Amino acid sequence: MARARKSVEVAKTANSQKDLLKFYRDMLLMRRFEERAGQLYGMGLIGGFCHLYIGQEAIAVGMQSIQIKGDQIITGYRDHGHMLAAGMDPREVMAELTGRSGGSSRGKGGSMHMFSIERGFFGGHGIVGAQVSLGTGLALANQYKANGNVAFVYFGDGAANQGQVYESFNMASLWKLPVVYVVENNQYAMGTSIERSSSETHLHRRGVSFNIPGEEVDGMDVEAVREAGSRAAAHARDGHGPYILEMKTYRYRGHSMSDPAKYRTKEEVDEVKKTRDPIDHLREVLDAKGWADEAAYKAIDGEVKAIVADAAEFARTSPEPDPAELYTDVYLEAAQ
Amino acid sequence: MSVDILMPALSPTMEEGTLAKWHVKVGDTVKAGDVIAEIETDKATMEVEAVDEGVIEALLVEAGTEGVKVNSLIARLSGENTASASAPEPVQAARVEPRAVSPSTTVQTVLADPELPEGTTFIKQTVRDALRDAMAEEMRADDRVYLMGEEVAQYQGAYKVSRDLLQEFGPRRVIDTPITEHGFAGLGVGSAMAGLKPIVEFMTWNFAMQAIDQIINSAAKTLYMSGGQIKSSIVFRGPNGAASRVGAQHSQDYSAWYANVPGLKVVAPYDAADAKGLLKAAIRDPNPVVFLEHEMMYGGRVRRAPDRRPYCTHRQGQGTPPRPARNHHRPFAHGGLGSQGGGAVDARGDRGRGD
Repeated sequence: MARARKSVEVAKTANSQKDLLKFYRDMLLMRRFEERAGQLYGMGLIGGFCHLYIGQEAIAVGMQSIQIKGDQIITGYRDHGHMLAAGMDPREVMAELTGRSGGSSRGKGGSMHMFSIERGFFGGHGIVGAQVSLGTGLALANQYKANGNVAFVYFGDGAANQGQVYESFNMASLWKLPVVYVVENNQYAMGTSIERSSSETHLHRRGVSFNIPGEEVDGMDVEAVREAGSRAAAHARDGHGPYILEMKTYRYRGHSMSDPAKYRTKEEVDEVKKTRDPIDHLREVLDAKGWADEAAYKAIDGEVKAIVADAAEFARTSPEPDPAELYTDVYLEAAQ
Repeated sequence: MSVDILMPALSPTMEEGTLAKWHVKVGDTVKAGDVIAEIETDKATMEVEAVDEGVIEALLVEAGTEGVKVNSLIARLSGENTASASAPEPVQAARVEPRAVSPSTTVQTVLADPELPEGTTFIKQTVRDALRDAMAEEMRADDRVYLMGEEVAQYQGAYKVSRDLLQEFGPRRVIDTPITEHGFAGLGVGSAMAGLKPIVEFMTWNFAMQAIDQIINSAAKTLYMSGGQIKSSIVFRGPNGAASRVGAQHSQDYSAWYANVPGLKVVAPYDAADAKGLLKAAIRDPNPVVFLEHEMMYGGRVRRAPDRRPYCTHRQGQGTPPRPARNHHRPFAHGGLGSQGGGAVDARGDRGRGD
């Protein structure tokens, strides 16, 4: 089968100064964006669900860096970071959070349901685990069209216990579909720790009985994510079938906005923030290489703050959807 | 003392079949387990075995006879282990009305149908073959259309609806899945989001309860939740409703369930013409369509499929509510259930419509 494009494996040491500065900027944008979303939620401008990505930024940024045009991304409900990584407009994402007509789904989807076919972002899904079957279907379409693209399918340690995940693993391996499964193991499915929910806590081993290779990755290290991601993508793109990456990560905030925080200690959260933070870690790498000085950090800070302030202002002032929108996009007209 | 050999049923819903071949002749000695005949329906072929020892006394139906009713007498076996001194002459199949099936048979008038072009002729066809032809025609016309489900390819369809499709279109487009309804329904929807036009066959709609989350939460709702960006042009199809003596888990009618879901179109065709036209329209439709067939109708030749009509449009009152709120008809029975509701229609003395 003719494959249009090839993945290139990226060694961890091969990242340029430009790459690392971009990763730093992208992760910082996610962090500041999510902090502002939390603030808007507190002000009542965002309602319903709002699952923040703070702490997990290295995964979306590192994985995005190895994708090629036409590759697809699909994830669950903790999706804001992935949308920003895919290049969706922060204004449209924030305005969708506030339910406004300027939102990426015109105010009809909310936090968990945003999409951009142009950017290869297929949602944003609120049923835990459903995106794994859907994403495997995206991979099936890639194989059917022989377009050389890979589907990157994200799910959490909670979704890893859903039955359809394994139904999908089986078919993906059986048919050698071009799919990379990325488990964002942040250790807690809502309030249930992985030790309390999973008989096999090493989730990269979950593909063993389907003959799917898997590896554990430090999901707090963007360069490690990029390196492992490039290896997995090359495997899938070259016709060898699915690959599982278990990203060990941590969510700093609650599951959603009303989280009692009784299931883990404040000390545990503080310890991760202090010792494993993905943004601080990358800053140490940049400092050690002498690739950024205070002025450079300040410039990135300023740019990110301006983007987030602009997005928040847009999300606050974009009009509410017309009530008539309730009746649109339910059916498409059939051509006769 | 002789033993009657009756026409067996190959499936719970078989009513008649073809006695294709005799493997014995009058005077032959048989023992239990010997193959004595082959019978066929349009779905399957089966060998008939003797269940007793004895000598074939009479073959009462000629080989090649079509339309032999289940449980009718087809042969007689002498219970004695010796050949009868006076074997009776083979009896012609006088009791059985053979039914000639020829695609060229034309029928003058059927039902008034304003959408039929002048001069349309009709062919005799089973609902099963009409469904297969609808899929084959759409697959020839559009490479994005593919069929996926349990036993749709090598087995030729659990109910033989997909017969010969693998041979024509190959394994890329006729895909056998593992027994994994939730998973393959999700794969189908995902591939539709990426621009393909899948036909997902459920062996019965009862099994689709494993997959109902993907049908409703993913296929039906994503167009709305994406503000019109993500469409799922997909057909979910298979037999629905009560079949014959299959128990409550295999007998449920899901039409009302799915008709309550915004974003889904729900179709339940009755005869071969509707089955073909509506399935072609469903495959072309940009929305997710739930296509409810009926097992007991598959072999039915209730009405005929027109030999040339591009495809039917959706019509009110035929189980196809494009906008549920505007569907004022309340048929009390529809699709294959209509055949079972026939008696009740008569009892009511009207056409079974509630308004």
